[in-house]
Amino acid sequence: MVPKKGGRIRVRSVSTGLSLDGYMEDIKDLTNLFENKWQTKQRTDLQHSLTVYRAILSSGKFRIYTKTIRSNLYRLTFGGCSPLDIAGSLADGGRFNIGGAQGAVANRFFKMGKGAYIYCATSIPCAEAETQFARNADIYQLRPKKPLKLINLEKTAMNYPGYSNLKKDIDMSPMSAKWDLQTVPLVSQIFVTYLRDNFNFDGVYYPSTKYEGCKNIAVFIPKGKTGAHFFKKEKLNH
Amino acid sequence: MSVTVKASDYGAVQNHLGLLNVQRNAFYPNRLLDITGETPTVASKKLNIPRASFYKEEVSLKRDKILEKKIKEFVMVGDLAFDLLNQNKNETIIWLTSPNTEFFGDSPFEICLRGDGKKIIQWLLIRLGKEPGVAF
Repeated sequence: MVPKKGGRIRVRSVSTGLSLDGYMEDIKDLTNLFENKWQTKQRTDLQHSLTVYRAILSSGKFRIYTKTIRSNLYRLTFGGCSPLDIAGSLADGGRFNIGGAQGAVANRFFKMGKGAYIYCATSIPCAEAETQFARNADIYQLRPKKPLKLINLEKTAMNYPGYSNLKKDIDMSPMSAKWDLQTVPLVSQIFVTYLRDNFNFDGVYYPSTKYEGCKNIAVFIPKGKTGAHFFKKEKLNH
Repeated sequence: MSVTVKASDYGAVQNHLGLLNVQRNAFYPNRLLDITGETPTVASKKLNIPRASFYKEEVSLKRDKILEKKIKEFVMVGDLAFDLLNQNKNETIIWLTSPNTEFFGDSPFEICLRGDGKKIIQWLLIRLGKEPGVAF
């Protein structure tokens, strides 16, 4: 039905659960709105993630490259937040974990649940580069309580047989993004959640895109536990 | 000796970009076009107000709650970004209107206009150390 001139339209897709809510003056505006907002952003993200998800499920055996890390890691926080706190990770999601904003779509289309991760970097300059606007941050050193058995995500993705653009998709996911703006799980989140759910590792590591030579690490935090299960924290700046 | 107390020290919007009038109940459409580089046609569609409004000196926020929310959140985002970017007005305007990878390719201006400005405000408050949160 064509809305009245200057009217508001609210549409919800039965198949995807995604919604569109906007004002328009005529049918041309409606068409533009669909093209600009719905078709190209959320829907494209969802279709792409579903395609990769199906490729992951139908792929055969693949090799997982691993490394054990014992060295200290670094994390920045603001406003007195503990570096071992997982509340924000669950509430918003992150580069490799599905959180509140993507949870409903992930559960419905990917049969994947939310997961809390602790993100850290292998050096302070790397943690600062990933943060952006780091001058107000508290710098913490995280000492692993036990050696962390991690997946080399870059190498695993590069040699993954089921989907050749996996590394490219992961590179395109920003680390310090405002993840609660993203309502559809992205490929980086889906692949790592698949690895978390189907294999027994402590987390993943991946080269930093903002500080060459250093790595970002995401440690999987099991249900009912916090970062304190894996790390001892020490504040470095006062 | 009396101490001067400023409302802005207690959270009142500072309006660094000069978008709101003195009473904070109307915005200057020409200033919005200056900041964002949009044309009246595009800006009127994004704000869902008549194009003719962009030829007025001021546009009242009193009767349109949705417009008021979008504009005031944009002003707050502008104030916080101004503080974070060392009070550099030009850099603040560039940051506000540029596509940003941290926000999945949208500019803070676009995010405010679609009604998600509160999320940008929270992101900025965390980076200013005024709200607890993690970097990544």
